Amino acid sequence: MDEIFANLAIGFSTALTPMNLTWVVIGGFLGTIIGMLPGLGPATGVAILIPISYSMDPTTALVTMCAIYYGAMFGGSRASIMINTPGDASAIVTCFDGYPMTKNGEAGKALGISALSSFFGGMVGMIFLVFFTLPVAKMALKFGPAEMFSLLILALTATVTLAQGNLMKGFLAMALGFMVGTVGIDPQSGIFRFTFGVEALQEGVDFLVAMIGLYAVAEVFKNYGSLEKNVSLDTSAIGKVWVSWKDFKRCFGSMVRASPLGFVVGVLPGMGGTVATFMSYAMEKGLSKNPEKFGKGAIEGVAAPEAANNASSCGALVPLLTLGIPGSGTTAVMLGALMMLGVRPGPVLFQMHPEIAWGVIASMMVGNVVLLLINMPLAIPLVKLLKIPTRIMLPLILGMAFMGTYFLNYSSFDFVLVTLFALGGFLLMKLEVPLPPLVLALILGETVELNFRNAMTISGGDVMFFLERPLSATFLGLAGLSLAYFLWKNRKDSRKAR
Amino acid sequence: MTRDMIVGLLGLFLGGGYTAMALMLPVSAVQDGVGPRLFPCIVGGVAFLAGLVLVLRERACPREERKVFSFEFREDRKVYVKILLTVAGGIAYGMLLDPLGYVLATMGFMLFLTFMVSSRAVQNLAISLLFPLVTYVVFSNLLSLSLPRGILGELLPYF
Repeated sequence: MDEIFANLAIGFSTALTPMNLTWVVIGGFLGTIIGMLPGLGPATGVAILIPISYSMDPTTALVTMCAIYYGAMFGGSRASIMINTPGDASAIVTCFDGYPMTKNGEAGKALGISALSSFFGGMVGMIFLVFFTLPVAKMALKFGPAEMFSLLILALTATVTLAQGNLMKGFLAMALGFMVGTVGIDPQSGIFRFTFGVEALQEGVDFLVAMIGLYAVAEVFKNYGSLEKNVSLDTSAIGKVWVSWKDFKRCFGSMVRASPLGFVVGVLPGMGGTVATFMSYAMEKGLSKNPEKFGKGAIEGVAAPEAANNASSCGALVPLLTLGIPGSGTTAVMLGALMMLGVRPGPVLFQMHPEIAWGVIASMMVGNVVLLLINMPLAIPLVKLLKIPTRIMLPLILGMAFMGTYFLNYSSFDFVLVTLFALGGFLLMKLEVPLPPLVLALILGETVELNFRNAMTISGGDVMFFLERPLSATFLGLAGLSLAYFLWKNRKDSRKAR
Repeated sequence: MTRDMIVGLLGLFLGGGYTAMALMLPVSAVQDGVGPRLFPCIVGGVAFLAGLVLVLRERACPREERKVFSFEFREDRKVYVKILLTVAGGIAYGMLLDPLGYVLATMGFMLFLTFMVSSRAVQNLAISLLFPLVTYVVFSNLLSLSLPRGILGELLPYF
């Protein structure tokens, strides 16, 4: 307990420096805007805003990125409420009741409760995060290569199975990620693999180049189809963005139930905000005395998913910070950006650089307050940004994306790679192949192979080694279980369909 | 062809090709017990198997139940043309960045993009002029990252 408060004190002294505080505000603001714009998810947002962090020291960079990530979670629901178009997948559920509230003339109330419950969920998630990280980090310090390998396999399998959809497509996406990850020099033997004689590929494919292509540029390609669409939005009818004491009391229970649920779901790889919001919405509807009001503008129907979403984004930071394993596309981009700055999240981070690890946690608490202050009084001017037409947004996103690519290595070859990844990402989206397993395999590939080879060397080439060690066997067992669950559920669903 | 069939064939082709290339990798004298081949072979195998399952499952499915997938190149040709233009423009932009400098090259790139998606000349010109200048000032001066000045050279301000 004392240790936690001592650590938090270190964290706050880092978070409250004028420099970091300024960036929390800027990052939160930019994140809110990016999260709000339809078709521009948080992963795209973080990817195109990465160049901002290039000249920063690692702590400030991480603080800024978390603020962007977190702001995007606040912003995502604005478009759901106002124009029935979610800013990202985790804001889909907010459309169910948020938009009906707007049609009932309660837009101000909906915006207010969404900001307030996001804040509430975020705060609960943050407190859980504070108590969770240290034990997990301490346990992870004891992991050997076999445990690490099995844990990574568990994380990757869970991303494939929990994300739903076609299992084989998920595994294929994972394999594609590993393939791209093995391009370049093999660090253990020094030979070049899969470079096709191209000199620029000898150091491998830069992860962030792939991310900018797969998310930002491919996203623009997708949006080329909806250039003509115009947003009709009436901001004069929003009214006051505020939550009355009566409404707060009505939603309090929903927020209290949704936040821990969201956090736990967020910790699990592959689940994340989208699943958390759907689960909490279903739970509230089930518990409600008047479930028939859901979908017609029930205020709890906005409060619960919003709280769950922000709590889950805190949960997602547990595996990222303590194990260096991202659970979603967005956290994978953050990990990539950090590695470029020379910070490797993982258990060692808490030992060697407590000021970075705890500074980030503390700054997220500060950020949560800042975002509430941004999102309540400034809600109306922010919502007006939704009127920016696509024909202006798309060139700006492309401009930022290409500039970000250039900053990575100052190499024009990266422009070729970025467009290749964008074409590939667009093709995979068309074919309904999920991107998260690919992205995770790409960033974790080197670690997976390294731990696999180290473990195999220790055991003298005996594959059974992974099953003989209890923790490693447990992780592999869980991976098998998630696979079995998926197959069982699939079979049940297809029987039902007949 | 259905979506799953295309993805399956893609898996067979990529997985097979990748595994074949992995098997041809040289084995160096200094290395760990496992070597650089095994891991890629497993990965290629996974891709190949996933593709195989997809293809076999599609073949087992009765013809009437298959949903034919089309890229709709004809219907969506406007979108595909824009994508190809963006790719070409992006690569050209990369090649012109160093010789022309950031500001001029970006202006050109933004003009190209904005006129591709919209015909409002004034708006397009404003974006193409402001975006490079604003980002140049922010990144090069406020965030002190180096950007190529190119032929404009000393004309650009230092802060």
